[in-house]
Amino acid sequence: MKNKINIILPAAVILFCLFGFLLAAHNPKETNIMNKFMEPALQYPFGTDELGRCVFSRVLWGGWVTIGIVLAGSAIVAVFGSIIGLLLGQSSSVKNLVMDSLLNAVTAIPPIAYLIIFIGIWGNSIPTMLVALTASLILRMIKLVKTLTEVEMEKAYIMCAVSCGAGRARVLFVHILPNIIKGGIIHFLCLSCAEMIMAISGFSFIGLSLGDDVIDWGTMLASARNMIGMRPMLLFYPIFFIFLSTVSFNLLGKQLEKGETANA
Amino acid sequence: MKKSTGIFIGKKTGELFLTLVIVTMISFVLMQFSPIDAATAYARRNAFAITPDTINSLREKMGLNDSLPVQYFNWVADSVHLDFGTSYVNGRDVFTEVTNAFGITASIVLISAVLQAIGILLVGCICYGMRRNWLGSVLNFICIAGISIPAFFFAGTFIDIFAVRFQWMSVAGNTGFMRYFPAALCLSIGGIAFFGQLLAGNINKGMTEDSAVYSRCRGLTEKRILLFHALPGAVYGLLPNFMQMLGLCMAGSMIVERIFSLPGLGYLIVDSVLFRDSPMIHATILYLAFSLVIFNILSDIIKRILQGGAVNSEVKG
Repeated sequence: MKNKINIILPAAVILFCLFGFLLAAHNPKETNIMNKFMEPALQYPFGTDELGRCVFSRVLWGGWVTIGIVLAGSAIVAVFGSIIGLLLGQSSSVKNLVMDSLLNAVTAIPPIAYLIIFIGIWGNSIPTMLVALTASLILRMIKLVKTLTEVEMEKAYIMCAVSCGAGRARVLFVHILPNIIKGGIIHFLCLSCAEMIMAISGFSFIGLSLGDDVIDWGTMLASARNMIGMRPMLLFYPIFFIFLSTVSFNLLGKQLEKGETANA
Repeated sequence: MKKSTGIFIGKKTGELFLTLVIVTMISFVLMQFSPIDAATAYARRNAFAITPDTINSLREKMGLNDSLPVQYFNWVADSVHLDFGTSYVNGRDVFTEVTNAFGITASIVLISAVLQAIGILLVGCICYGMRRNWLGSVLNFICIAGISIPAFFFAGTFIDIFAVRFQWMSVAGNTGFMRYFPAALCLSIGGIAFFGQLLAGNINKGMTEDSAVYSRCRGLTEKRILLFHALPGAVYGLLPNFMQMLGLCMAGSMIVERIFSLPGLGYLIVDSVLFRDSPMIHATILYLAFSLVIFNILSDIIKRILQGGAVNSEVKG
């Protein structure tokens, strides 16, 4: 039971960060210079920033953008990465050797470096970030799934399944896939999500923002730092949400891994 | 043994070149599909009158009219002679610029590596020592927090506190060791938090293994088993991953560099991005990829030595 709470709680926090913008009372872009630097009050739960915008609404909308990018990217990676990885993992032939060395070469570069390359050349925007994220993670994902599949293929239950007349597709998607989802894919995705949240906010913090009119936590932090003398608490809200979401992803990954080893 | 070493070296060299070729190709292909034309950007920046004629002659001069493979092979042929061209922004030699920047990033990462090594040993041992204590849970939570708070926030706060509030150092323009130390410190916090926990876990595993039980039967004290048997085993087990982590730091330092205004690789790449300075971007990416692969290869070499030496036959990668 305690285990369940440890999984449900982080998941709920992530969902809140993602869909919290539905609770936002104000338009996050609406400026009202008369109300600038207001202290937290009922109308503005986190107060207002230097242009009189509602910080609470901005933080929630920032979550929609950041977590939305991360989760959309992970979903694409999860689907295509596992299919390609499974197909590569079960074929053993000469082309496997070529694929192996290619994959090794490509995954030698960490995802953040790919992000730098993509952003470096295309400039930063939401579509670029999504493409870069997907491209950089999917290679790692393919490698991971491929290795896990190769390990699973050797196990006895596959031989049993094949001797019962299971076809190739059935072996891959009905027998192997559920095992490797619990055995590593989810853990990998959760940890990469945490890393990506920090990378995205990091890039917008140093000025490679996601776009001129996009609200996200990194940009909020950067502008709050300029106002640190006026109202230091402005710095706290976005960093708290970054912290909350990355901790949730890290804990979720850890718990799911733990639960798996406990069951095994 | 000797023959397999030869194969190992050959394989790793092949991997190095393959990676470099693939990464540079990626950067060329992406550049081709870039929404902003490099020649137009160059003309805008230098306040030329933008007519189709000037753009065309610029494209000719910059070699953008050649097909992509031709451009790529020209670039490769030049870069083999360490000639990466000149910057579109300030006309300086790209090779010297990037090499200087590389030196700065490498110093940050090296200082950070020392800090991380010390920090990981300390945090790992304390975590292990307090694992049954409530302090241990607090420490565990701090570690998770350390992984979850981005390095750029540490960097920003560091400047706000030590440079702005107390004025113990200047915001930029420190010299010598202090120039790199703050950046290295902020960079290492995440690594310490991550590997400290792993080390504590590994020590715990080592202390419950059969070999530890036998050592206890031999009458060795717990302290001796911990320091001379479990700890070295745990450290060896983490070394390959630690090396890969350092490679990651080369890329990860970019944001921290930017905040501390250190003209390292990251700073260079962000600047060249903002100015669409493609020779600079290609060269920086090449250097970055090179250093990453070198760290990966180091990690593989350590793994191989450990496995070959049978120091600990159950070292996991």
